[in-house]
Amino acid sequence: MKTQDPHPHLAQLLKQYARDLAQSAPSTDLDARIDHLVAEHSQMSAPAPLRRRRRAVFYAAAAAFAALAIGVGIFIGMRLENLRGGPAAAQAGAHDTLWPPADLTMWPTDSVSFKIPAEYSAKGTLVAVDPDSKHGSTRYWIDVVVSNDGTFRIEQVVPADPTQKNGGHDGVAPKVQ
Amino acid sequence: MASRPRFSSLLVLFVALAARAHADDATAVPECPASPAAEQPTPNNVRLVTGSPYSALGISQTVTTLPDGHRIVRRNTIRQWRDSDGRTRSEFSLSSIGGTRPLELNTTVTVIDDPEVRERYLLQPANKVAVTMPIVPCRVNAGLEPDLSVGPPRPAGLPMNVTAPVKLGERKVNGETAAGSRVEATIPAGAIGNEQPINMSAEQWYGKDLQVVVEATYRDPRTGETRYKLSDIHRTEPDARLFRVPDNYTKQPAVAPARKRR
Repeated sequence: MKTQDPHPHLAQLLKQYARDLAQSAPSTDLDARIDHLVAEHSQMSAPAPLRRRRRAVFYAAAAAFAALAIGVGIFIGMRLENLRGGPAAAQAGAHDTLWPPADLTMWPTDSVSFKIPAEYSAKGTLVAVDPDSKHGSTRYWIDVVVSNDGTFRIEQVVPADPTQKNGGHDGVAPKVQ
Repeated sequence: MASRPRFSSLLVLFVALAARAHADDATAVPECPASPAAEQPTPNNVRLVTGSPYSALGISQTVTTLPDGHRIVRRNTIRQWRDSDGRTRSEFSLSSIGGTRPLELNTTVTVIDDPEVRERYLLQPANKVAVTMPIVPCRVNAGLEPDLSVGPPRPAGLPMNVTAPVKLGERKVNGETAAGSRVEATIPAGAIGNEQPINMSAEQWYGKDLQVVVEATYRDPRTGETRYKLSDIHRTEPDARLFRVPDNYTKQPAVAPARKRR
């Protein structure tokens, strides 16, 4: 099929465009942009399992870091508690204001002093423990005085020496001055 | 020549008397401090009461009522024996001890005091050990009245005012004639952060023949009310085996426990 010659004005413009096109060289910028778009597209269209794996690795690393941070926190807390001797140590040796006081003696009575190994429970109370049992928290010697006038009192709470066997405990023992 | 044997006899007699005097001195039982509050602490002093054997059960119950109405009941018992020579055996059944730092125990501790050999034995049934420690027997002046001459008890370093003991007369407690006395104490407002004064009281009834407290009541609004009563009282001589360490036990001297080095 034969086409008609274009309009002379249009023919002139086409020739000028052909000349410009012949003179123009490929742009390096354009190549870089195309390369980038192709790479981006290939990343977006990567298989789903690979993406999930990468995400899982990321979460695992974050969890490990969090666990490490918690562990370090617990370790520092335990060190601080040991340095301070625990909650009872602050009160160790302090006089209690409980009634009746130990030296109230209206009548002659007979008293016995014990030393009892104990640990703090989750409830915040002291609990007597078997000296041979394994333990994770600080152990204490509790000085207990019982009298046959019906009074039972805790006289003193002292942290046990953790470097000794059983923390230095051999069970309930008489108090030795 | 007849004077030589006579001199020897005198010498032997003198030596024998000196030895006896020394032995008497060694076994002499001193008087207990009149008022422990006024004396230095003497933790190894053990009161010697002879010629008054008995066995009994002492029950101490403390009831603490919390602000929301809940009640905490703590109950500890002392089963006690004493023979005519003054040996004693005490079995402490301890469940818990209240206070600012409550202690949960659930254990039984048996203690034998033998003033004759001047030793205390604490029995550890789990490992068949009798932990021993020396005691110093002392006699209490057998006056059957409370010693009011020393004035009010002086709680060392405690921010409280204590009244002088008041005599409550005599009454029968479980068949025993008992003399009563009572003291009251107040922690002044502000002494321990309290807005109002805290009023407390202690009342004790002392068995005149038994020479032990047979009934007591202690009131402290912070810890509640403790009632103690001696029951199941028998005035017969207890079985002598109760005051001996069982044959299958090993005696071990008590040692000062290892405490945390600072």
